[in-house]
Amino acid sequence: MSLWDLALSDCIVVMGSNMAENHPIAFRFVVEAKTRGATVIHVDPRFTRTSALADIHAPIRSGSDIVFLGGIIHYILENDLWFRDFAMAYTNIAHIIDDRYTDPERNNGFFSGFDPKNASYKQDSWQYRGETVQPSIAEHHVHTTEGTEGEVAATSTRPPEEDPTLQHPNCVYQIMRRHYARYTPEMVERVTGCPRETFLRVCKALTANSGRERTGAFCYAVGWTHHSTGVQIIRAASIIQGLLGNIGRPGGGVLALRGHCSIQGSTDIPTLYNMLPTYLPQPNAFSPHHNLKEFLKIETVPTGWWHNLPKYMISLLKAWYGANAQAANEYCYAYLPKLTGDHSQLPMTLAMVDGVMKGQFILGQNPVVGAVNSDLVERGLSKLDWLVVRDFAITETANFWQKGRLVQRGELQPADIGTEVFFLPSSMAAEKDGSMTNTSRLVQWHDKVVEPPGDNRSETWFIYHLGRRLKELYAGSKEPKDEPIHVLTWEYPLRGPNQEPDAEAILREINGYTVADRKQISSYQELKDDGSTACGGWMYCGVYPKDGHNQARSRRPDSPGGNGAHAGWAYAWPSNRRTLYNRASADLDGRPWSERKKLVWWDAAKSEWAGNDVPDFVKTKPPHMRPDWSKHPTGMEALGGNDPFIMEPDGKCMLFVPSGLKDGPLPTHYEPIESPVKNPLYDQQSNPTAKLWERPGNEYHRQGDPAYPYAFSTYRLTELHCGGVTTRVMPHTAELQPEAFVELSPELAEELGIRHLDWTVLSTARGDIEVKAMVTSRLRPFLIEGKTVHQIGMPWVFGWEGYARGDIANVLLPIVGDPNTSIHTTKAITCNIRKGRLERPGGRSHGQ
Amino acid sequence: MGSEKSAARGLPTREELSEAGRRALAAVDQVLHDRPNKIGHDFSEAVIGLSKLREQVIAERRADPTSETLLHRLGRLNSVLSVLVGAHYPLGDVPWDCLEKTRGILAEIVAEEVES
Repeated sequence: MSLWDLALSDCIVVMGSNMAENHPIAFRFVVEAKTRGATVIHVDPRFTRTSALADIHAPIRSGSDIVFLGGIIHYILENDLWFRDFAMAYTNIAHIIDDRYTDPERNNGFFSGFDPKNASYKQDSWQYRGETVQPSIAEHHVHTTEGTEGEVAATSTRPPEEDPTLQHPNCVYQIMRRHYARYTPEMVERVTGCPRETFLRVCKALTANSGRERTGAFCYAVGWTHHSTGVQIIRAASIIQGLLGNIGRPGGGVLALRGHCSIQGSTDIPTLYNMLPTYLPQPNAFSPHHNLKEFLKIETVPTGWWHNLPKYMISLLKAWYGANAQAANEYCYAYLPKLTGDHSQLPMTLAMVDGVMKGQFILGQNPVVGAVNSDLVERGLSKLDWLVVRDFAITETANFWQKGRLVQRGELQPADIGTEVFFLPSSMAAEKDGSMTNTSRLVQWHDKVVEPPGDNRSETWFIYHLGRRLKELYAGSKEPKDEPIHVLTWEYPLRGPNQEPDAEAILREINGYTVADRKQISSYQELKDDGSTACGGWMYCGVYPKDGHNQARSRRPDSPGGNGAHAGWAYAWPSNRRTLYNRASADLDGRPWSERKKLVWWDAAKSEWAGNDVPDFVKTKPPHMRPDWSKHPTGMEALGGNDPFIMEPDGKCMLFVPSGLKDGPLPTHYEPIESPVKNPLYDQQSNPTAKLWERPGNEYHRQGDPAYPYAFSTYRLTELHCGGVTTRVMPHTAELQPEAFVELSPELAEELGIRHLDWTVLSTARGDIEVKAMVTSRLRPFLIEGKTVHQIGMPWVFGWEGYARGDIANVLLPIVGDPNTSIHTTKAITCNIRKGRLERPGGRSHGQ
Repeated sequence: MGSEKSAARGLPTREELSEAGRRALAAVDQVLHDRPNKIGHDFSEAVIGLSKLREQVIAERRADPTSETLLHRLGRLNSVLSVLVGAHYPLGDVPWDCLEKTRGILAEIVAEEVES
């Protein structure tokens, strides 16, 4: 959904986010919805400014989100409050699952197929009965007994088996009812600490605002993602929305608040190690990806929109390798880097500590503050040969060797740190051209308005000229391993005295063009797999559809009375479509579910889909069209006019996910890796497939360890951004949040003899920090399983640089990864707190 | 570089590097024998040792940039390290087959180190 689409919601749940404080621009639309009569709900351990503006604040212990959301699923199913017409038509609720499937309810917290030897799942028994569903994510291959050659029982011979009566014991509906049977309101209160009555108010508000005439939305951020069950938390919300018919419809959806200026862009055109631009799979050295033909055979999903993968992959290779990429050499596929393991930030930190890595580029990031287990990060940096940090003010990462914690306490001496550190000044946003892609997939162009001072340069300048110099350096090499550098296309017009690459030229390449005449392409439907098109990111195709037309620069909102899509404002991928899966906003006959919630519909007179948004569907496919299975259809031919979820192989919203997730087809409550509470629901305490790397310096707390009895969470502040340096060096933001603090409830403070503004020491097995106490009733103790559990929280944005300083919260956190994404856990660990100060060698430092 | 000079400069000696290589090979042999659920922190010793060996080869190559032997040895060491790190932090299953093959290359490198 679009951000402004929130204003059309009848009920908004903000969870896993303090939206008012951390996404204040976006929150305007929640406020607008409220003025129009929407119910706003905030689910959060703390009572924040978001809560203050909400109609309902539901407090929950950090790390118990799946119980809360699972409780809503239970409520919906047991009270029969789901939007039946929508869910029956557009989800896999009636699909029948393999007979071998068993649920955590029967297996002490494990799904069928768990291999304790590898701590991983084989997903045979999760499949639709009689077939295997291939995911579109390469490293999430379905481990089945069918073998590894990629031959799957594709969904192109028949549709999945269904029971429209929903009586079959292994249909998704019955499986979900059994799975969430114990997620009662009473269980929600026992595990989350949220009073039963409050929880029921949330359920009633959500369900009352669903159906044909009303829709609701969830908004979330890293309060959901930064958990060892992060992906499954989001999945739970998508199940709720699938059941309530809140996907693809005005005011409905699960809105990921991707609030950093270009964080969405950073995964689109990616900085993620395991993806090629616009979410194409990265080849893997240990998979049957030996050549392009094999790669495409394995990775191309037989049915649904992702069947077009070859067009996007080959067009990407043409963009990257230009005339060098030909059919005869498989478009230079051999030159693509291949994954050899988990190269995400967490194991990368550990590999740094082990001395494997020689160097690092840190661009616009400050991992000594922003990455978990700060001391281990410092240790890793000290093992590098070289480190390049680019930012516009000195960061903790750049001067770890001089002012870092390890140096301060005498564990390391600057003279003994062999890392050669280069600090290069970077431009700020107004000093460079470029695009920003954030919430709602919105790509907005910004122009340079002033030249950067002195030697400050943009990231684009740096990466381009670094690449140019590397190409020059290796120009004479005959080594086969240097061939990829030779053949990479790297020519962009340079402008101005600083020889800045033309950012719009890069955007034009990302958009795509026909190779023969270098004409821009206006739609990804024009991309081909024969080498005649080039495209740096298929989802962005259309952002620069013809010469001179940069849609990302457009700033034309709808006038009053307009349809509210604001299609003239920037560009939303793909195709400037504002709401994904919007075919679902119409019923099986192609008519809007209601006039009030109309978005797209079937125009019978013109035999095409029309409406207030770009239809996310084959424009001319009639609603009553059904695949001709006798022809073994592939791609979109295998999806009927009643299959809106076109990125899924069968076009249905997946309430139950047969493949693509490493930790289960249904969200299941596991306690955080560190928890003061024994899992009340299952014997299995925590996510059995979570990525754990226990080692010296990264020790974990055992469940209920009395040495670390408190639940601890971290979060951001409005005034100080992320790793903090950008705003801690600015007096006008620094003075608004001048120093670090830890929040604790009056009850805990009294128990420990801590007064407001007293110094405290926070401790975990990873380290200790000192910070002033903010005693506040916006944190309340939770009653969990009859026991009081105290919740503590601290902003993680402080460090030793700038005007606003404080100890680094991420010193306390362990390195733990979600099994699907390797994202770190920052929202739920355990800790201890006491009144007092740390003994520091050499006296006070770090601004104290 | 001779052991005396290495020791004087605080760099690992030839003997220490040989020993690091042998311990790395032993660690690989152990995991190949045990096929554990997950390769744990003990394996870091193998990676740390080989990283030090790689440092030495890099230093030698910088001193003699035309040496094809050193170039080849560095290439093999980097390949071995890639596989070991990939096995230690796998994306999915541990690549046991590749680890078996890599073991052979590592054994050759260790043998060459002992001889040098």
